[in-house]
Amino acid sequence: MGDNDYQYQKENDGRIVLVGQPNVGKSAVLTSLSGIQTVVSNYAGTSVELLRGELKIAEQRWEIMDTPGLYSLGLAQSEELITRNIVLAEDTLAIINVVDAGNLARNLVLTLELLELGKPMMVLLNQIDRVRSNGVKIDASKLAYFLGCPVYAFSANTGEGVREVLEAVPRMHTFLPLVSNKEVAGTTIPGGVNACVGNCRQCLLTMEKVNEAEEKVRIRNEKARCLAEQVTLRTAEKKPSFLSKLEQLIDHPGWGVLILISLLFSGFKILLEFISWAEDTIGFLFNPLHKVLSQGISWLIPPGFWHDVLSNGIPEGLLVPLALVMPAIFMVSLMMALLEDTGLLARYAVLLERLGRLLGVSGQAAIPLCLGFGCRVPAVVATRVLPSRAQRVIIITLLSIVIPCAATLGMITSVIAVFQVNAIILLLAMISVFLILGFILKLIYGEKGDLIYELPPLRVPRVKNLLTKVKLRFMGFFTEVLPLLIIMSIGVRIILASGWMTQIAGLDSVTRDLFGIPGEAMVAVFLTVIQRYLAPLILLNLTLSPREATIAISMIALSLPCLPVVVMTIREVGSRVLLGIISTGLAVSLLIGFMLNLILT
Amino acid sequence: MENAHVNSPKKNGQISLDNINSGKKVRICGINGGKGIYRRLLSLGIIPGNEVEVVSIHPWGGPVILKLDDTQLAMGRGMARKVQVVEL
Repeated sequence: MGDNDYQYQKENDGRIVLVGQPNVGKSAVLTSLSGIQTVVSNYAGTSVELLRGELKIAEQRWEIMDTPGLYSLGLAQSEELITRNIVLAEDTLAIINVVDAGNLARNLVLTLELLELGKPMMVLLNQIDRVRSNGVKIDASKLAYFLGCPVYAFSANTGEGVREVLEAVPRMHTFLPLVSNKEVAGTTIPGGVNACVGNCRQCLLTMEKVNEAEEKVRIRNEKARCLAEQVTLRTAEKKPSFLSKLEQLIDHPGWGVLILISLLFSGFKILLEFISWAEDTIGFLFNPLHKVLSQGISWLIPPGFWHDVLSNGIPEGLLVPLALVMPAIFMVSLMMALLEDTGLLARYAVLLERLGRLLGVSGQAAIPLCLGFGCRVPAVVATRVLPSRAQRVIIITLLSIVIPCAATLGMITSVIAVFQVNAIILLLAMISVFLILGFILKLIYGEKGDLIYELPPLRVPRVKNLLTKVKLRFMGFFTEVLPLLIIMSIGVRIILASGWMTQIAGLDSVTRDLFGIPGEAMVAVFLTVIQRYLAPLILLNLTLSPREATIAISMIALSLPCLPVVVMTIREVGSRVLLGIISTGLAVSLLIGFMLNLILT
Repeated sequence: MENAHVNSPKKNGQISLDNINSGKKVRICGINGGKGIYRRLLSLGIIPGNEVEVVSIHPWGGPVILKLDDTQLAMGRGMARKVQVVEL
């Protein structure tokens, strides 16, 4: 063991990690300890975003880092492995174990395990104010005595304990757990703490050692229960708060459904209103800029191929995202943060679980699918609520190909009105594609996933935390989405200017034979890749029979994701998935056209 | 600590968790499932010997809501079928 390394380490820059079970309020603790100086960083090689902050105490600087919640180091799976790696890393000097004081017994299981690592550590009994108001007293000093490490009563809400903890941080290297705990160190992770960095996961696969880890969890569980019982004193009967009454109502199988559905509906409504308001407002504000840009480019570049490409591509790639995509992402980030921080998200997952099982995904999937009817760009972002990558791929594919966004719906309805399109056939086509595609995707990616997860208590979200979360999701728009969009819209303009599209229009006889639509309508189908809602505009300029219009609009409605969705998909799940989606989308679109041409008379 | 039921063979009163009515308290006796499920349950506190309250059961095969100390858990029916308990 490298205890001495820690003990005599020079007291300068060092990393302290916050470790705790999910939903104990680690992020809130971080914000309250380090003020607003938190930054977000991706943990190497993953899409997991971690909050980091800096503490400056008496000329010393400490890096303080949030980690994904985990229940046990030894049983760590997927995201939890990140926490394990950070905790075990050499340059992690000390651990701040955040404990939900209201769930002491369960939280202490992890505390006991962390103590076995032999790293300097302190325990924060977070949300102590809530526990006290429930008529429960926790003897922090007694707990400290039993654990052999400092324990602080803490509340990120009221600020209780913040000063004490900040004062203790410079001395943290001395907070080594008692010998009795250290002796066990190294046995939790096979091969010893220092021998294993926990990257390979091989050690977890050996059955004997797995059993050992499970047995240890059981033993720690017993110990934790005893400890919790000894330090807890119930002084008064718990009087149910307003929130817990509300929680009972929302968790009721009958009433809860009504409340949750009406909330979802109003949230959806607000989103749509906000997007259309923002599009008008921002579009109006940026209109002069649009003109300046295209005129500036016209002035700079002589007329010709590149002039056409750049004078259209740059303003489109810059202004459409700013006016349409940016407000949508902002609002959805805010709503997602609200759903998470209030504890409502998990309730939706319960409510919609039976629905999600049809598609082989968890209940939360309904949230991005619903959002997709507003704008599919933030819906792709919202798939982050799903528990696994496979589920995200399923939902993003369905979103890209089948779900029409508000703008698409508007355009589709105008085409329906102008050409007397058979709306029932369009609807049937969409529903059957959704079901069949969903079924196929379920066969490929679907997980039989037995569901179990924690239902966090309903909470009033803290504004500071909400803002941090929104910032975290929103900033990516400027750094990743916007540049990519500009590049890709220039690319699309190059394709358009190259005359490739007019060649398709020339294939009139082929498209009529295969799909029963004129060649120009086929161009519209391919244009969906720029913005799906632009494509129907081209249809409106053609003369089409109702039958032709029905086929063309069905092919447009069930085809490719629009450019912003393409960019988001690359960002969220990678370009390989995107290629799959694009080829599936093209196949679906052509197949639908072909089938409808056969069926419709 | 009571752990008399841990790993004990099937005996009177042991039923699977999906058969319990809402509002009842039970003690976990064992988990009939693969390694993955067993670990997942352990990590969430569904550990043989612990007491759990069944808060509500969602209709049409929906999830079972459990209360463990002050934590609520949502558990799919399929998983509840694998958890052996005794009513208290």
